[in-house]
Amino acid sequence: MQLNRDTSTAIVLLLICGAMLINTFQMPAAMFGQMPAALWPRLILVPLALLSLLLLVKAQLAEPDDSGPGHGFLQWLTYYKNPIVCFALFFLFLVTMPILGMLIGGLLYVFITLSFLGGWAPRQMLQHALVSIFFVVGMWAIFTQLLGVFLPEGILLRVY
Amino acid sequence: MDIFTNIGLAAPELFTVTTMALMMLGTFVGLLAGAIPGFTIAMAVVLVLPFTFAMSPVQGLATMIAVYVGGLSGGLMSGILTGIPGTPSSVATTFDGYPMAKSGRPGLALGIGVWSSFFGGIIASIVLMLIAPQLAMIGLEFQPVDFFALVIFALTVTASLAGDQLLKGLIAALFGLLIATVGSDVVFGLPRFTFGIDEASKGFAFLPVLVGLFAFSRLLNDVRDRSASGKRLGGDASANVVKIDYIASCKLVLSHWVNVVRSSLLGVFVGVLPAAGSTISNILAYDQAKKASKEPETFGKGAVDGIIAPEAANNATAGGALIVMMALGLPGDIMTAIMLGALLVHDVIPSPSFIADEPTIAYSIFLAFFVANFMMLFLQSITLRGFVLVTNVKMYMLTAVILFYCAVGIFALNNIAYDMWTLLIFGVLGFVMRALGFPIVPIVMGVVLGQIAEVRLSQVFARGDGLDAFLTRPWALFFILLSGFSIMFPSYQKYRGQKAWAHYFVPILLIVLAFPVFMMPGTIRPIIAGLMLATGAIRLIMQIRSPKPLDTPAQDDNHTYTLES
Repeated sequence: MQLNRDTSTAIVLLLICGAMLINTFQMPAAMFGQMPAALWPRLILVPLALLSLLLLVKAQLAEPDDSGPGHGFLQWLTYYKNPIVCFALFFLFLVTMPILGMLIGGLLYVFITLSFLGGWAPRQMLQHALVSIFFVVGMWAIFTQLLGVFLPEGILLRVY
Repeated sequence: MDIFTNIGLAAPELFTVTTMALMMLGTFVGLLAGAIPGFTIAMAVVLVLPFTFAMSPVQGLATMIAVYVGGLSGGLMSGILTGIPGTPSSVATTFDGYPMAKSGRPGLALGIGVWSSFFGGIIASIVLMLIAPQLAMIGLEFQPVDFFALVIFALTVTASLAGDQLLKGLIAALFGLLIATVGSDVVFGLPRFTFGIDEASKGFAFLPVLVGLFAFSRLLNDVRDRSASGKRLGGDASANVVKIDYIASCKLVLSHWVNVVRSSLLGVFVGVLPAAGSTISNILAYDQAKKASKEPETFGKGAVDGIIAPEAANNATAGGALIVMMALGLPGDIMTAIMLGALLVHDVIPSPSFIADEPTIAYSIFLAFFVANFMMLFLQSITLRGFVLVTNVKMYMLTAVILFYCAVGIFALNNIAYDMWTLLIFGVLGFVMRALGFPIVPIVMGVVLGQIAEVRLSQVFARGDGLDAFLTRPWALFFILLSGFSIMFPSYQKYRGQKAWAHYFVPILLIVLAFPVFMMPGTIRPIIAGLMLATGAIRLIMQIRSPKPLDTPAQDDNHTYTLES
């Protein structure tokens, strides 16, 4: 069996379809001539499973593809380093929001993301700090002061 | 009420100082976004959306339409002056715009582009005002089974535009539909696919999913390559100070009025088709202009028609997409999907009766589209140089700031942190799907259309219509047959002129579709059906009697049009 990108995708899709199809059997039966709750998901899942199976077959018949990040985990990690770190930083931004709030959390998030992507040299950091302050404080002010939207202030700002 | 009465009702709502100022600002933002390579118009509309929550429905929608129109035109500036299109909808503009600018006539090239965009938009807004109410009247004939078939058609067209990746396009569309099933079922309201997570019982709000899948994943895709993310968006190309000769370029565009009208109507038609947006229409119009030209050899070397066609078509596409959204309540592309979300935020639900029930809002949208084109013309003429300078921004700076803006905007939607988590989850999902080669647009359309399809299917059940309704209802049968042909369309496009069966595709399409059209009420539609049948039969007989010779495989103008993923 050839283990390529589409093969893995097709297997994951088939597993998702299987799990969700099993779950549809726990849904309530139809009443009073109404549409059963499980019908629509099954109408989607059955063709999705069949197409995934087709993808699996096509992936097995396809020529090996050497383009892309390569097969090793480290190669893959290096290839997708930037997006992975950006997602992780956004995750931290959301996790710390109850404490830091949108303003402080946003400033830190934008500054760190800019510096990670752009570089940590002093001149660049100064530029990133200015960009962060201008855009984050500006956006925060527009939403809270002009549009009257309540943004999470966080424990830190609530204390002071 | 006639069209002029409705316009009279809508005009006082739209022509207020505040709304005009907001529209002007929206057009400016759109032009700015369009001028930045890599920054799509959809992203600009998404970012503007949260600001419209505090506005009235007319103000909010007028502002978003202004962004849309501005964005469609903004791409031509960087495209003509630097050779790098600001948006995918201006790709074909660079084919002749950049050579003309390089040959020492940048002012003329820009002038032609600006006027073509303007006339394309004006023609589309006239068609929009005339066609949308008529289409809505046809839409009133639709029963749930017809709507369900229409959704299926929209999804198959979207998937088929994935070109060679039809299989992945279909999987993506079904996956989008599957995402929309998470939450509560539409009949009983019971939790479905929540797997014990309480928050998931509410399902996923439509806009965080859309922004996550489309904008969030796209931005992170753009910064994957460290060196590319640190470069200026406009590359090293620099634009010199340019003066547009408006009078000469206007005269030139008007002297090519056939191309303007043809490209605009083509743009409107492409806009009406689900998911086939300005990315496709600009290339298609360029292709048609080249085929119709008496001097096709000048194309690619600064031909006037080569600038007119894509610019008129891409602005006109917006009008076509709005026709479907306004008349049937179904989004035709990402932009109208976002606008549909904006309408729902304001408790306005588009449907076939929308234009009749809410004439003030509906005609305000028509007028806003018309007025936005004038604003675009005015702003483009005074801010040209500044917009080109925007291309000096570095990609990673734009990414970091916009990711934060996405978070703030999505939070402002319902004031709950859950929406921001939805944004992150679908951002990751969108990024992974892109990396795996799946087109994103079918997933988004699946998410948007999923609930509509389920509601309509449940209505089919509640009415006691059997499955035979798909064969006996003319519109349902029409859309189901079209769905079948749309799945085969990528193969037809690929093998047109190369395989014998492809010569029979169009005649058979006409003959088959004539049957449901013949079943429709009235006298005009059966007559149209007769014409379709006759045309199809004649073409079929001619093909059988004297088969067209097959082309050689390598053909320059055998383009395939695919979705921007």
